[in-house]
Amino acid sequence: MVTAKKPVVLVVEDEMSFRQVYTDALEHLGLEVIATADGEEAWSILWSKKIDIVLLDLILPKIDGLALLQLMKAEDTTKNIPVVVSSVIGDDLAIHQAMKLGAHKYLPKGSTSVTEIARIIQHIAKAEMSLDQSKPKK
Amino acid sequence: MKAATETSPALLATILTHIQHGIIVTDHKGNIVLVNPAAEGLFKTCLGAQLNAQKNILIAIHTHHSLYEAIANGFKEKAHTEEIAKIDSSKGEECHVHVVVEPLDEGYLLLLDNVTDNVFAERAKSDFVSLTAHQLKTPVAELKGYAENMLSGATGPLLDKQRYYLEQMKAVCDRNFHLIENLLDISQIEMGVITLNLTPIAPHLLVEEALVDFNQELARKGLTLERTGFDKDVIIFADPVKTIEVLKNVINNAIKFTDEGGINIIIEKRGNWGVIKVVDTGSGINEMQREKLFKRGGVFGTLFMSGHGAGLGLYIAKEFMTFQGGTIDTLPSTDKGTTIEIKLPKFTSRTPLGKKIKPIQVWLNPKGKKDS
Repeated sequence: MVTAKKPVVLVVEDEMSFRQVYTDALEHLGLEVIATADGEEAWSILWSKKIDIVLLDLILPKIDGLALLQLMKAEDTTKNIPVVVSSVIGDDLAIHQAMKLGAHKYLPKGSTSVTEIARIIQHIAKAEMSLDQSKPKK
Repeated sequence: MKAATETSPALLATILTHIQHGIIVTDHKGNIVLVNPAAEGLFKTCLGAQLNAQKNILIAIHTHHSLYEAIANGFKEKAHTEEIAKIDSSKGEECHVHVVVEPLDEGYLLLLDNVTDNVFAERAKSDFVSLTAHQLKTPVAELKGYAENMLSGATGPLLDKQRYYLEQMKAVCDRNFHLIENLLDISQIEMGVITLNLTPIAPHLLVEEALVDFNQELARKGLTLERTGFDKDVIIFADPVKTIEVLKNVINNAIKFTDEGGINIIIEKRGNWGVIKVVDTGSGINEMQREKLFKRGGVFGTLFMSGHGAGLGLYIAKEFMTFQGGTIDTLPSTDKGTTIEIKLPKFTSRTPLGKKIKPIQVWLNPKGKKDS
């Protein structure tokens, strides 16, 4: 029996509590989660593992969320990985910049429930995986 | 009052010498005809340059891109223009100059003011609000996240009493988070620092984003949700984040005050406007409440005491709509329920699509009136 592959989510979030709740919510929905607290480690993970979707906080140490997003969009290997931005800051300009840089979606932390964020990520990840599987293999 | 043309040259010279605004007069090609001491001083402070040694204003400032653009745009438009230009001074410090270009029969009048202190003060206020937002919202969001995960079953089955406690905790967190967001919005409005990022967008996309937070509450109350006109081909010019917040406030109220029936969200095209109507089958509002609805603290009193919130959401909604050139209002209703109508300008071919649209910093004076 072939087991369907679980989508892999990279959670990039410096607050331990949010890393915990996002990981628990996503795993509860059957996704595999890799969580990291800083942008630099996230960039390293993106090059070493197959990631299907990224949940990205904007305020991060070492490389901040916008800078990481910019790096991802500049490389063929990572530019098509959907990035969902979730942040609690009230900085509309940063959100606007993230969307302009190609973030797939912005989900405000706190006002959108953790379970809803997880459900949306599951939906996007599964859609991306179906798209990948339907592409002719070289 | 004497006309300026009747005033003696000596008096005009005195005024030009002592006035605080920097004044430069040029011919149509930008060659400098007149410079007052305030303009000289500003150039020395911000650009480290001696202006009286220069013949042409555009050549004098060509290495300062933002200032060059501000003045060159004014010359090109041949109409009154105002901009704030950022200059990195010769000492490596930041300088902000308010530039007004006014066309004259013989050339141009430039009015220049060093507004660096104002810009830094506004930035400090804005940074304070952002930092406060983060510090206040984060702990509440953390508690909410823990409660939500436990309620969803992610940490295992719950006893009835545990579920009840967690539901109460989540409800308290929701109310407090919403209140903090409203207070921070009011703080930004009152401090006069709001950033608008206007962009062409389809209104149904904004409504769908706003609805994401309410699926659970609609299901819990057993209310229906209808969408009408979502296939209409209409594009509005709006700040997506601010408009979604307005919609969330309106939808939140509609659900709060509706116990049976449901909500219908209608999108329409009307002349130069894109229109979004939120219609509910709730308890409705009387004439007295309608008058106060969009005022700050407008629904304090019995509604506040019965736990229905501080009435800040619709005041903020009205301010955000006004900044965007839109409107929000209640429509008179003969049936039970309330209709709130939101109008935003349609995005048309006359809107400069090819030009890069920069975020507009809307600065207000303390009484809340737009300065630019």
